[in-house]
Amino acid sequence: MGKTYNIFKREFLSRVRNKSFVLMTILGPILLASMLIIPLLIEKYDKTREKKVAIIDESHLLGETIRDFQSYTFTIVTNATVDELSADFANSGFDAVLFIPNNIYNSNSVILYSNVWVDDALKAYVGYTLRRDLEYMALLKENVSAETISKVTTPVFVGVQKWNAKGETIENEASMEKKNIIATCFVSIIYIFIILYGVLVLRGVIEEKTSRVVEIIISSVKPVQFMSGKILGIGCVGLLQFILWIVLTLGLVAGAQQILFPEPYVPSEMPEIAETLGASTTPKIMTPETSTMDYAINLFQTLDGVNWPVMIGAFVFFFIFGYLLYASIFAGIGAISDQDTETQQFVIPVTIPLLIPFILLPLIISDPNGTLSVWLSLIPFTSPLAMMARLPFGVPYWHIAMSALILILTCALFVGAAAKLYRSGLLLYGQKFSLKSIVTAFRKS
Amino acid sequence: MNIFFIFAYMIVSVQHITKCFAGTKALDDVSFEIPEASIYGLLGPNGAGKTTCIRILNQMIRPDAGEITIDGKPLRESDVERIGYLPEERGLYKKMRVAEQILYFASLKNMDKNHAKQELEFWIDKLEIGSWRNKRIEELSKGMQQKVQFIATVLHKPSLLILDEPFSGFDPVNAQAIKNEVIRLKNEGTTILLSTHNMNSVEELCDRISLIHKSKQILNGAVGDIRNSFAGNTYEVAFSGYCDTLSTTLTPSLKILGKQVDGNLTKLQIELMPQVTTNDAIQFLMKSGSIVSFQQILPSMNDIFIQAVEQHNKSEHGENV
Repeated sequence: MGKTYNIFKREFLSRVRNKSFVLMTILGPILLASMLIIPLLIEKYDKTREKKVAIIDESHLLGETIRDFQSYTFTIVTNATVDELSADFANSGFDAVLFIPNNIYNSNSVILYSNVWVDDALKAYVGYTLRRDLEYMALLKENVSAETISKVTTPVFVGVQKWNAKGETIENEASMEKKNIIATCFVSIIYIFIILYGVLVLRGVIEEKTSRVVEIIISSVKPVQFMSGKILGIGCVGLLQFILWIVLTLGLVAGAQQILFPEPYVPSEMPEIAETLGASTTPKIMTPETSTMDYAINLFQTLDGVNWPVMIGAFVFFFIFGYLLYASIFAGIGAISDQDTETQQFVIPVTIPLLIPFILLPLIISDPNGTLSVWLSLIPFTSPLAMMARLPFGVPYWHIAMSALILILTCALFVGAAAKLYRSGLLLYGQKFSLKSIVTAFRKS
Repeated sequence: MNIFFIFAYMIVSVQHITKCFAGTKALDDVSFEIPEASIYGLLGPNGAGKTTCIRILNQMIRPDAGEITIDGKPLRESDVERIGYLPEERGLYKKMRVAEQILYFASLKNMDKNHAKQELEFWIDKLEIGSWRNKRIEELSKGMQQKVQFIATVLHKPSLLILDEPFSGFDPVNAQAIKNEVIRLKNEGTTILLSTHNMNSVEELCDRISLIHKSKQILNGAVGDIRNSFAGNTYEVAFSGYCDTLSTTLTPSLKILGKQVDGNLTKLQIELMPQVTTNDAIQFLMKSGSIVSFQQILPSMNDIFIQAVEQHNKSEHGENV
């Protein structure tokens, strides 16, 4: 055990002290935080800067129904034509011009002029408002009463609720959506971690082979001791880096929010639409936007039906054992091949089993207890990801237990096999990586 | 030197070791015994099976047949801690610093950390590497790396030291320094197995040798005995001043192989015919001049190596025909 600890210590310290580790640990959060902050900044900039839209309304009616929307303010211009505005657009004080032609009742089209890119939200808003108005007016023309129209145009809201086996409601749609997000997050974290640090194990083993340190190690310690020390050491490096990434990213985002958004940000509400024409219902075009951070906090606070202790416990377990399994496969590949370049091409085939649940994620989430999901969460190569995808939706305990047991046993088998290959790989210097060489390697040991 | 060493003496006995790799024999019934506090040479051409033999001793691979005992007891897993192994292909972590690297390898041999630090100071002094103790391995020259590797091999005071080509990569001065250390370790009681192609160092250092060729052991014994057994009927006679070689050429009992005049001395290399004793020869040679010395010419280990290998090849060839 003492030797395994010494190996663990070296593998851990030599990497943590490495410049590239320090660099990655600092750059990672900066990159992640800026990915979170930059959209917020753009949003803030957009919200604070008012954009003026001139309406030239030849119908002399429809323009009235368009109210200010988000950062857009609409002004009906009567004393100028489109041509006049365009002639001196830069000095007109407008960002865009909405032209409602006289023949709108026949052509059903309007034009937005702008010297900047027109926001999709603006386009959707204008389109939606005018369509409703035109519908409304067409119906009025046919002598349909305003009351009937409002009845006819009432949108239907489809609420989704999830039942348990007894038919009791356990969650609503919003909660399901959040579970999707949680499942995707956990699966992505495990996937990235395994690929990133599994390859580090592969590199380490190849480095020992090319520098011939392997011969000294094998003459001093048992290969299993060495392999466990190495894989655990690198795993802890990864864990440390991940924790630092999360902590630093959250710190940076929180700090940036303090500086950039000192006042709590209140999302803009949708204006009432088509009031002038008497329509009473106001369907939503867009849901109000909240900031990413608020959303993340909200996500964990309001989620019902998730057993957090089991969820976190399972995450830690599948995170660690998923890594152990793939790390030992990578170590085995490193042990029987010589050159780094030659080995890189084997990384992709090995990670395909890992990729399958990642690609099938929507399917697993849509049917977390279906045959495919259950099988994927039992097969040890896919279970770390598949099980995490299923977990937020509730999984029978015996499924988790069985999946965990299979994974533990497979891990033990693969770490042992990697150790065996590490020893016998020594006798295979200069040989090409092939199925045959794996078989001989096993036979030689 | 101290009590620890007295009890650490080790007798290694290799008995009838056979090992096959994928049908080809790497070692075929090899046996030898390394006495305590001695240097044992493991010789043989490239690919003879020396490395396989060493790896079996290090328990990196298991023999198919045969047994290895240490002080009469079968080899145990924990014995690796009493062995120091310097592989022919040196291996150090390029990014690690010298002292760190040596201490790491010592820790893998289960050596106490403080004891290891103490020993490290001793060796750093001894081999004068103090100025680069905190340098990374990749910054060192090959010879410097070899020194680091040597220290890493001996730091944990192994009872059995296995050295594979220990002097390669060293300049003559450093090679001598390492040689002196090897001799010192032997005198302090370490049992040493030396695998090398450098026959001069075999003559200089080894007490006993074993010659392995094509997986078979073809020579085994004390260096002196082996040289004597390979010595033919060749002798060197030195005469003071002039010697009359004419009469010698005419006699059927001996043959002149060579003649050198070295200042005041004339040296003749002669081969005695069968049934001619050295006394007969001396009596005969006395007539040619005044003899200063008469001694047997012993073959060098280099010659023995080549001769033994060639003989083995021939006899093997003969068997096949």
